[in-house]
Amino acid sequence: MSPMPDSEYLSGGQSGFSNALLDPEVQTPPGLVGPDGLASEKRFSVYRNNVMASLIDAMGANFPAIKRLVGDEFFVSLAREFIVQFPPTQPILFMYGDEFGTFLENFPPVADFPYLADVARVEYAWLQSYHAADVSPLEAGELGNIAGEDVGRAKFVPHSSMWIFRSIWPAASLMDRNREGADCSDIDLSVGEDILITRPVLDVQTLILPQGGFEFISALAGGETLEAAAGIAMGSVENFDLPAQISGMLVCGAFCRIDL
Amino acid sequence: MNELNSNDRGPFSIGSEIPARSGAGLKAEHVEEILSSRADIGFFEVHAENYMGAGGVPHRQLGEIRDKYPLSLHGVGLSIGGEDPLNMDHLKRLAELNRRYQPGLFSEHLAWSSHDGAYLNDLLPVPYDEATLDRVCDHVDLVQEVVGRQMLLENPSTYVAFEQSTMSEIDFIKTIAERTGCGLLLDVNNIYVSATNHEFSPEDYLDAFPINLVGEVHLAGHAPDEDEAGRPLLIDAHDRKVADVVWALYERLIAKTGGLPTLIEWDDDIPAWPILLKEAEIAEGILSNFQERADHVANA
Repeated sequence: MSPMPDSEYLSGGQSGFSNALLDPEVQTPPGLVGPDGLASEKRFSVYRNNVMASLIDAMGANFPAIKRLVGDEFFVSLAREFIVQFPPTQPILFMYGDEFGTFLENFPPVADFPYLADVARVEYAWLQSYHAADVSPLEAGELGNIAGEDVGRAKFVPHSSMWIFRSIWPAASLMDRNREGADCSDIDLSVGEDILITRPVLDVQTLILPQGGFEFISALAGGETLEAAAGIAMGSVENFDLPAQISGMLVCGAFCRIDL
Repeated sequence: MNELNSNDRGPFSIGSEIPARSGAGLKAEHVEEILSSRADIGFFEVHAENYMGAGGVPHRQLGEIRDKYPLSLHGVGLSIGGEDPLNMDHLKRLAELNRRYQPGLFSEHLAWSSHDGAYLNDLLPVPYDEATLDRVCDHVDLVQEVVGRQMLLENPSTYVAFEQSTMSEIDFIKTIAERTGCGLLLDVNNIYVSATNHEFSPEDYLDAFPINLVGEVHLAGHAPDEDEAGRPLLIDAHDRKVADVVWALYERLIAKTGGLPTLIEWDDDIPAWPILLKEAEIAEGILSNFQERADHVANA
């Protein structure tokens, strides 16, 4: 063993270093010096700035619609607070921000904008869909290949890229318009949306489901048979158009396989 | 890990697929133009973490680039200098990317970026002492074991020094390479940034560096700032052209080593593709200049 005290004790080690990085109130760790042998706040702050600025950039890349909705300047303070409370837990930054929706729901400064949380959830799901495994979606013809008496007990395996969500807000419209940089003043905030995200090949699609579609596709994705899922959907809305819903669900690539 | 010694031109030899030419860090927004213009460039390097999703556009693009150009894989998030054990899930993902794309070179940093479950997304410095040396060597051994090949370890840019360091950065890096058999990635801009920030001679550093172990060179732009005493403080920003002083250091290096795979990194304020290609062409010019002189001497 070295007679010198261990480096970790002098500087507080990486615990002291990392605490000071995320919290500007924490003093610069001891034992870190410039060429004159003296501690330098400015030098340590390069690391502080790198960490915070790069993670704010990452949040902006992952949540462009939220950034436009709240404005660049406010987004920075929003992201900063999120980063301190929920620093990334692993090095893949496109997976960062899973908790952003929950954070926004509970962050008092945005209490007057309660739709932000769901927009963040849709943006996060969009990004996960973009990176999901490449799997061929179910082709419309495959259901036709099943013998008539077996169709009712067909089960549909969800595609790796699919995500389904019911929002009391027009969260998909808000996301799409803001990502396009378009005006969204005509979006009626009192109208909720049932949202389906899929990526049959390379392009992510954000779909707003017709009435009954959420119940139908959720039931199928949850492992119900076609017959049971249709029953659930018909029980939830009047005039459920089963043939149109089946063809819609097949065309958008929500499922990848039929199991009998 | 002696069987991975860099002098052994075995199955893990340095640079077996990447030519001694210049390359560029691959950016998604450049891929279409690179492919349609059939850009004449030695290789591309990617940040491994950007390709750790299961599928979609990133892998489609990388597959297309890999079909046409040699590829180098550069990890930025493994935290080899970390006090914590290596993240085995992350290490396995690195191994899987190596298996999937068979890059000609694979590199990571002498730095830490994760601690106590938080990933800090920066390359943070380590003290140069015995305890850290042992830990980094154990981590490099584990990386090479799990990934199943030699890695190159990159010298850092640093903004602070540790009072308790007991050896020089070069001795620290050299010892890691000797103990683990890893190769080295020499970032010439990092030399200049650290030399300025800590007031040592970048030429002396370059002349003392174990250049026989270098398998790849990095070049990038840095941003000028100053500390509270008014001393220059350079930031390794990767957001602009390579500085003239760094080109001069690079020429000094290539005059000693001959040709080496040389990468231009430009990760922030990313320019149009022709501007990045132009930087790579400057490096290529320096490489071929020295190659011609070497040929001339050989033929004389």
